[in-house]
Amino acid sequence: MDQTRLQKVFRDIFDEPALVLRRDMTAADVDAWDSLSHIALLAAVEKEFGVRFNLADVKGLKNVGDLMDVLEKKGA
Amino acid sequence: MPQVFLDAVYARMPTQRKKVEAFYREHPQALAELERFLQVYRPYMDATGLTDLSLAECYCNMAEETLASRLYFLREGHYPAKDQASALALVYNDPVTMKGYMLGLALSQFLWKAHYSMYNLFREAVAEVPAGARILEVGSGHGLFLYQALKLAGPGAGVDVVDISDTSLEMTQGVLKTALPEALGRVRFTKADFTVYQPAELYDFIIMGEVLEHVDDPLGMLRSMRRLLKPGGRGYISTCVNCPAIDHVYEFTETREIKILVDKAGLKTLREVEVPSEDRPPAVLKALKIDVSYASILEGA
Repeated sequence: MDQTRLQKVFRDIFDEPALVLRRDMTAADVDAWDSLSHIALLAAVEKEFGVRFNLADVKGLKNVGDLMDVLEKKGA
Repeated sequence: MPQVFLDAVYARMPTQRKKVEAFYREHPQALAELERFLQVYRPYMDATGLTDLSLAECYCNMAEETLASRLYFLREGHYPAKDQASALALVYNDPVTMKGYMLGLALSQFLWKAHYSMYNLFREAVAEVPAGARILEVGSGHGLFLYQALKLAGPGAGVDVVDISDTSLEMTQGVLKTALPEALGRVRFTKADFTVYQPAELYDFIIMGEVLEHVDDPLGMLRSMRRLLKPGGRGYISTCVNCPAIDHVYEFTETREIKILVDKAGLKTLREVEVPSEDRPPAVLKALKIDVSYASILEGA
């Protein structure tokens, strides 16, 4: 999983060009990361990595590390 | 305070904290109502082995299922469930899934601005029902609307419940048995398809909350509502637009489509609320296909 590509998606969606991803980063750390932008984020990640998230993937997705792990599992 | 429940939700779904806290800043009384809801449902929770933590799990499961359904909807352009029969098999006939999902939905009345607004319109409608009224609820699920109807309509009201799901009927009876046991004798439960339901008497008030989006033929449901209302009787409906969920079948893309069906069914709208799930300008709501909750009080045209 290419963290630089994931970071670019986060920077674009949240309009924060200097955002640096950390595994423990959550919505609490990013002002614009709310319930609506969370959907936009996941849709953009699906597009960037050519994956489809199902229910099992989004279950318990509480921080960036969880998202990275899901992408790893999907071979992205 | 329902802090154990809320902390568990926020820990598992950090984006929910922002949404729910913003809602409580705007409607602080809703937090007190959540606490009251937990008190009312506590005996049912105790009887069925549920704790505040497992309730948080039910809510988060429902919210995550809705999130996964929304991603599917944005990707594929339609809801995941293809028809009523598949939704019935997936959710309503599976006791574990159904109970957790219904409890999550009941909780959302006190956690989501859109559902809270619809719930308030419902309470307004029930408060106006005449004493001794005959009331029908179609699709009773979590039992919260039935509980409120029995509380607000007073001891003279007789209430019927009709539902196509055994699991739903069992859950409602379980909630009522523990939350308002003295009212159990005033409620008749019937397993039936509402479109062909033939009661002995007509009704003063028919409740059909969050049903229309779950069926293949919402017009048939509205026509049955019209058919079973007494002259001057009222109905309450709530539904939603662009609202994918595991068991949502009928896709309304604009609230105008709901009103067209209401009109075709021979009903007229007395009052309505229309609340998007996110506070954003209309153009953004449309572009992102944000779900909009809709509820109205109806009577025969």
